[in-house]
Amino acid sequence: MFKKLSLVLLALTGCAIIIFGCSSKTGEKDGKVELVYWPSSNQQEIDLAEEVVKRWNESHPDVRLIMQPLPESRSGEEVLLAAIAGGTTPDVCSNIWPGVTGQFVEAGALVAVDQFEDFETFMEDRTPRELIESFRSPDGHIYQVPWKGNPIMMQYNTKLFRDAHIGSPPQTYSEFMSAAAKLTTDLDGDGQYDRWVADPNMRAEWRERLFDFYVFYIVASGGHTLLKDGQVDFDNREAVRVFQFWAEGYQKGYFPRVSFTGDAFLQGKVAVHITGPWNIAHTEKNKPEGFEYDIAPLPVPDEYQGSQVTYGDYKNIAIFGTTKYPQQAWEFVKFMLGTDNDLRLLEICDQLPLRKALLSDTTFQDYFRRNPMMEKFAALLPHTVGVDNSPYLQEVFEAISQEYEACCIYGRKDPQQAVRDAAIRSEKILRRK
Amino acid sequence: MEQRTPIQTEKEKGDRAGYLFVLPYIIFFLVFTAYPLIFSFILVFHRWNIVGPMQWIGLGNFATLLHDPLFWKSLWNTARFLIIHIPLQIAVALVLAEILNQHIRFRGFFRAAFFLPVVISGVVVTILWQQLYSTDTGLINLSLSKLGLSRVPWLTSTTLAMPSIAIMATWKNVGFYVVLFLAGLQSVPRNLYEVAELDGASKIQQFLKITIPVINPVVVLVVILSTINGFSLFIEPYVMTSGGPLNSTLSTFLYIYKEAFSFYKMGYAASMGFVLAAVILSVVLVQRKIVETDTYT
Amino acid sequence: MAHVLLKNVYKIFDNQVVAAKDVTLEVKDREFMVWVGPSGCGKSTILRLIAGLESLSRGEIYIDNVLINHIPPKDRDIAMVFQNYALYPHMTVYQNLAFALKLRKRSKTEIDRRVREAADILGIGDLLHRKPKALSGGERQRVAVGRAIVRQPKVFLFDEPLSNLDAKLRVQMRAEISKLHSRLEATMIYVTHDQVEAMTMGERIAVIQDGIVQQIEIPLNLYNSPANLFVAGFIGSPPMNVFQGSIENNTFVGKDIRVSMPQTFQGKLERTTEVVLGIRPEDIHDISAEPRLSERSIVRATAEVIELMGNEIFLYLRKGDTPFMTRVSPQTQISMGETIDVIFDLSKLHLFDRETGNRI
Repeated sequence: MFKKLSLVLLALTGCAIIIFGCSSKTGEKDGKVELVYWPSSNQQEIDLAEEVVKRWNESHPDVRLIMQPLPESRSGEEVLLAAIAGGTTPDVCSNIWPGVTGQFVEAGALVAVDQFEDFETFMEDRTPRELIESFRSPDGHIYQVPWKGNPIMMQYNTKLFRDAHIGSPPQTYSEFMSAAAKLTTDLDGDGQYDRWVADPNMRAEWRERLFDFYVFYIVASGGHTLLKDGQVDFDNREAVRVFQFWAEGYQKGYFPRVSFTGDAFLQGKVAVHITGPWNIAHTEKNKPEGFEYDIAPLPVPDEYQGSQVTYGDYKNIAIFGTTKYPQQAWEFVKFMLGTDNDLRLLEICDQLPLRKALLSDTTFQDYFRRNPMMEKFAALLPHTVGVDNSPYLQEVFEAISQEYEACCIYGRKDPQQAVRDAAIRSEKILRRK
Repeated sequence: MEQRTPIQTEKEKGDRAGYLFVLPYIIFFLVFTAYPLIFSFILVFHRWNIVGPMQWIGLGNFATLLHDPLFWKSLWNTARFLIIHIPLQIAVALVLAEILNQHIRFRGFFRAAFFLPVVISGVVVTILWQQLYSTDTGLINLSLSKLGLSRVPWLTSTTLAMPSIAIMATWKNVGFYVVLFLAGLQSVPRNLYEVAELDGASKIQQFLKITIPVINPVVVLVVILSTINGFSLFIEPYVMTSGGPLNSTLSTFLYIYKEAFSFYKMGYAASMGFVLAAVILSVVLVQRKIVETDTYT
Repeated sequence: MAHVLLKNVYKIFDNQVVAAKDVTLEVKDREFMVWVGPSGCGKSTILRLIAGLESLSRGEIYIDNVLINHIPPKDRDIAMVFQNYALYPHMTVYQNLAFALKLRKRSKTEIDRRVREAADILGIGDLLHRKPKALSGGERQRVAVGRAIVRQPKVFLFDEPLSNLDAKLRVQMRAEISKLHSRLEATMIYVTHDQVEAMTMGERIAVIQDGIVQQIEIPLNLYNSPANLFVAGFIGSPPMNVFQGSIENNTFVGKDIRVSMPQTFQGKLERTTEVVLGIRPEDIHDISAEPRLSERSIVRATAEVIELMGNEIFLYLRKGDTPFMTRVSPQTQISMGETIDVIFDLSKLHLFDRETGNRI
């Protein structure tokens, strides 16, 4: 048993050495600088990376770029951690979820990008200052370059809404619940619901909480995250409201406690799907004949007065400490973030570059005219927040996830108590350092 | 000084060749068994998140473990799994082996068919069963609702999820134990049944009073193997439920995995691994005491 | 106790092998009958038909005049002892003996009494708490027999019970089983391929070959008047000498041997001329021993092999191309390659039809 465990462990470190071993060989070759770049392993991003790297190599004969997609894995974080442990990280890696950079920073694996002279001028040109600041680590440095964002909204089946005589998408919790009451029905009369309002993921994995509890918490609190100055900051009324919302939905049967096969939203089994812009291309490709949908912001608590905010699900670019040529790597990062490549990011991947005035920039206007749904996401992009910068973030999410499951999905706990317990547990986790 | 005869030199050469032959195994053993074992033993006394430096904390991991309700819950979950899985597995495997040992049509086909799930990847089997168990569109529930029965929340009910996984695991592994039992059954002399028949034993009495005691060593083997395999329950809950609902399918192995690779608590995970190994060892020892009879002495 | 009757019994296996062909025989009450034949002759199969372990293809089997064709084995009141003992390995000797009685729900005291009785008879009283693995071959066979005894069945069936034992133990057990029979006065059928066992144990012997009963007789008659060539060759060791030839003018004419036929055969020989002449080795005598025989025929032959047995000599002789053998007294003076005159005792001649193999 423990043999197996340590085997996995060893395999992990072993993989790092064997699979990525080649990357440590790169560096200088025939007097030419070589850099290794890992993009994410999904096909669109590989296509984009190939194109970007090709253009870079054509225009920069002195610095050759080698592109190797991140090996397929359950999560890119595991692969990167293995690479850090093995000292075989690439020079540049994109698609890093900011929630894990805390760990990387703690391990000293990343290059502080704010040390480059032109960092501030370059970045300010592209990205809003507050957003850049939100990625600043507790030590005062910035280790990640903001790249793209995915504002989380809700997709809804307009036909189902029309049939249920719901005029506009619900904007508050009570509107949502009354819409849910109309949408959730028993179609074949067997005494059990077979259509529901939405299909939130009920797995108790911390990752899934990003797209139910966390995004709703951001929306309800006007853009608060879980922590403040390394302390728990979610033990409040807003978090309890969010727990109440989900608990009520599950308790009344509006959210199914079932496991589906296939895409329940496209099958018309649920009317609402909480998602990001990446799902638009998927919907367009797979939707059945006559399927109509639209995008709307997530509902807010009835008493909410603030402005519209949502979770941005950012993905950033980092330069790893193993690089011998940080300056060249930074040049490449800047190249990647150029207007042309941002347009290609939209066109190939249907993901939004973290760029000021995305909608007013003429470069992108044509794309958004062709993709009106994407325009709605882009409109919300300036009003997004990400996640906290803490190496213990995943454990905090896990603690919340446990309480969420007990309280919201299975109704075993009162929301007030659940939030309290999650906060206590999280405080313990944060204190442990 | 002794003189070297050609034969001696020849022999020494042979010895060297022998070491060369076992070298691959020794390397394999050192790299994949000894090293990880020693490394994880060292880990037990440390806190380590893979990327940072190791931090000595003595027996701190065990102190945490004693007060970690989730660890104890995961052990209890594993026990719940074993309580259903092992008897079910043995009963089904024995009955199938007994049937496959008769002269039935397509015997070869059936023997192969029952073994097939064993060689199929666990992930594939699990995904397949996930579809079967799907509350809404799963084949099982569709059949139930055709019969006018209500749908069963196979994987989403805290009481049913672990039994569902145990049934699936039984389906997956039973073929292997059928093979073991078949070998056992075929080693029972046919004469024993003839004598028993003349002595007046019915078919069922023959099975209970002759077959089972005579193949007791195989039963012991199967109990122990399926206990050890059962304790390493991982793929099924990992793919199907991630340990949910409400941690009701969180096996110890899955918990160890989560702590190690989701939260990078390598030292704590290694400590749990050692404790689990000790638990397995003691369970197996107790089982042997109970199940094993001295058949042949 | 019981009387067993087989009537026109056939057993044909799925692979068309005929193990019993029109077998009709009767085992009398309290009789010890031995079935003997070479391995694969069908004798064990016929025994298993009686036990009910094989199903009949055709025919009828009666025990005490009750047709048992469709009675299940356990209700036939029959016990069987197997060649490989077939003891239950997980039970002690006591449990092995008690098993059948337990299944029949006899009282504890009765079981105990009968087990101890049987153990006493077989002298295995001190082995009762051992398991089969801790027993010697002879002890295991005793337990197997004991398991049959406790049942007090109508019929005992023995299927080559001594074949797995060494020669010395076999002789000892042979006597014990015979003693057991006289003590229990039960009907017993004993199958063996060993003609010595058959001759020494059987009250009557059935010789079986190719699923057919060749002859049923008391041992002495079987030896002295074998019904056909097969029986003649199978019973007796060393086997009977046989010569191919024909009868011309009351004289047997073989390739190298001529023997004039004694009076007793006259009148029987008119129809058949193609015959096989048989004579047992002990009925050929060394001339120097001067046997007093009324009808005799002298043959001169060359000694090829001389086997000294101690109490006698097996002498392998050849005349022309025809080999034969004789048992002579150890006093006989002969060495290899020498010629010797031997006398055929004509009163002990056996004559068989060459075509049918039947005795004339």
